[in-house]
Amino acid sequence: MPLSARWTSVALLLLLSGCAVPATVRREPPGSKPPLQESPTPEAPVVAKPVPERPLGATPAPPPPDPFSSLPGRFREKALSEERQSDARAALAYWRVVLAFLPEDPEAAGRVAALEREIRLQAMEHLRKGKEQYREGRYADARKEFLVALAYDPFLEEAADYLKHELARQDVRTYVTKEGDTPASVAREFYNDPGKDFLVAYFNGLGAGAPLRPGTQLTLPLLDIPVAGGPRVPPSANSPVLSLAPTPAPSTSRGPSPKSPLGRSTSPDDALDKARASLHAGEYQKAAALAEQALDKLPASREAKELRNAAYYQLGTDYLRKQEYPEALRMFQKVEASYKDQKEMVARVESRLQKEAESHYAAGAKRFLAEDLEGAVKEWEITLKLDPAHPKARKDLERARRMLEQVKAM
Amino acid sequence: MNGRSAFSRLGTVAVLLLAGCVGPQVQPSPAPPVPEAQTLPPRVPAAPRISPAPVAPSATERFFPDFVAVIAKPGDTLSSLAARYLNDPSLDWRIAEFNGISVVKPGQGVIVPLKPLAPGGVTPEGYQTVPVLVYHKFSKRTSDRMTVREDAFEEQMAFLKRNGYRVITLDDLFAFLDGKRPIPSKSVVITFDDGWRSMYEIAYPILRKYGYPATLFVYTDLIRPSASTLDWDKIREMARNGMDIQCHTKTHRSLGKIEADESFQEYFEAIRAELVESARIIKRQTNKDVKYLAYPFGDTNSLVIAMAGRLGFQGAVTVVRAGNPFFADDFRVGRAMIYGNFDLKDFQNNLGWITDEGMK
Repeated sequence: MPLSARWTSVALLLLLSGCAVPATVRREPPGSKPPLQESPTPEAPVVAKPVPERPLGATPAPPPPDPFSSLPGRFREKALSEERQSDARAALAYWRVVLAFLPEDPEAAGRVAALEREIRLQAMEHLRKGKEQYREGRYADARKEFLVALAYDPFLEEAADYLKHELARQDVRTYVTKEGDTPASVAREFYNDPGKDFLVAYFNGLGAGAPLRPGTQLTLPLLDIPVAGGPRVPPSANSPVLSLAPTPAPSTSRGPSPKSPLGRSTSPDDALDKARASLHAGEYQKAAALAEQALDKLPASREAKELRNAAYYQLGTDYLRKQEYPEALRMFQKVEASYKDQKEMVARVESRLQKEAESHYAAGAKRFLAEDLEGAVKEWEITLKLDPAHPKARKDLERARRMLEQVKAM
Repeated sequence: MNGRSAFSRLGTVAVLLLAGCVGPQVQPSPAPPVPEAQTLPPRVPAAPRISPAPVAPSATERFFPDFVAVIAKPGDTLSSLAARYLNDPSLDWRIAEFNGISVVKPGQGVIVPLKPLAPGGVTPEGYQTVPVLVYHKFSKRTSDRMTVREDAFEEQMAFLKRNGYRVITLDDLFAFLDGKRPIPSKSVVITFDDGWRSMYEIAYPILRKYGYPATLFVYTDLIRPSASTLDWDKIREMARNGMDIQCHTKTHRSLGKIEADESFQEYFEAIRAELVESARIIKRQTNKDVKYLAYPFGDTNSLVIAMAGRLGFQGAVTVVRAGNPFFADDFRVGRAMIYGNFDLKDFQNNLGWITDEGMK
């Protein structure tokens, strides 16, 4: 349908449906009398038209029953049921039906207003959290927040865009040209191989050897292509082949777990693919193990190292959140020092560990002074677990154990 | 619909990309023609189907900004109401889901929502996923891993019908992935790979019996005179009857891997030829445009995906056994292979349509 015709249809529909008036204004049923004119026109007859006389004693015919009368009650029940099931969005849609039929209904008006407010607030809060987690590289957490935001407000474009695009696996990178760049120089810089200038030319519609104006944005596919039946093509050290934000389509919870129906053996490629999928499904332990497996076979693989770093970093963050400091430290120490703020995180966890250790050491001393030797031993054991290099705990623990043995021997 | 605009914008970007408008934005000299990019038609955003026809109000219908309330007349069905008020009979599911009904009776009051409740299929219960099934060969009496018996296929199609699944087209799925078209709950897509004759002789009549749409991904070198393979006459006959014919390359080589005796440039030229030639052959034989690609063995990589996009493909399917939410990658759509040794329970396990994975 041409655009103009479509707009004409929509306009006609709006006219017919009374969309231009607020939803709360109840429309009169067809056939009802027209509204009174506020000021009579000059042509208005002075003498009223004769009105047919009603026979004496006759009662006016009862209005026909409203065929829609059952709908508000039915949808009120549905709205209440959805509210009980915590589906605010569906409840709102049903309350709006009730309110459209019964604009004076206080319950419907109140619920519509309250649900609109709740949906708006919740959706924006989950969107905010998702964006924050995305910035921190916590992709699985961010994905969850964006989904919850959409569950509240299915029309929240920003959350949908994050899920569909920002969290998606990237197959191409952009490259902005510098002064003097040619397809060959870009290929050398990006692919570590000037002979791949044809790729630069092909994906950007360039002539071979054509000069490039500085600031031109080029689209370059990532190259991470295994050889059939052989080892993976090793990416060069400066080849930015890493794609660290993939979100593979999740498997369905009601179906079997994803697996290769072709029954391929576990190659480094498979391990990397699975590691990537696990990482972005939030299965960090599994991702770390798979990345380690891939690194055994491809010790120089930058992607495997990055996946390993990302997985251990996430594990460290999780343990830190749960205040399991020794585990958090162990995980952060597995991350390469050049990865993100690894050094800061290690220092932060060590500082927390020292504080915790000191607190347990003090608790142990208190128990020791109260002649609770067993309690003191326990506290100092925890102290050493948290800080194996604690300056006093080891000596005090040994002394307390000896005393405890002597007491038991008596 | 607010949710559409972002996706529509993306659609526009896709059109610009395919039309060669984006890329070297500051390229001073005109870019040389790239014939491959014209192999496929430019991507055109799906026409909006929701444009209610003007209907005069009466005592049995009331119009509101977001919905129409209707008292069903004798002869009305959900489809006829969807046709009358939503201009699309296939949107009957929207009325059914909103009212919690499966049929409409005369005199019954029904709400026809003029816009979808959750276009991306995300609700507090979870998010919608669309299973895409893939079959290869069929047999009347025997089965193996890649060959499904006729009675099993019939049983599977009957299961879909009996359990309220809606078989949608691949176009519907990609429109859903692009945020352009909401689809019913329990949507499922049926596809076939390669181009074996048994698909025409056994599966196709059963599909017609149930009225199910489907897509056949052909690898064009297989379409040759042989007792076991399809010929173009049969493919055209199926296409005339609604079968969607799409690309499965020319020779069925793995696109995702370089052969051991192949240079990188040879590999690049080979995968380009696989896509370009097969799309041209299908277009020439069926007079229909090719839009989607099924990777042989499900193998792909970033270069193949970038090339498919450059050539104008709008999406591609793998054999990763996963349902597809609206935010699935258009070029890594998951499909579930249905094996000949599957019982009905195995089949059912591949029909997950909602999940809360990663959401709770």
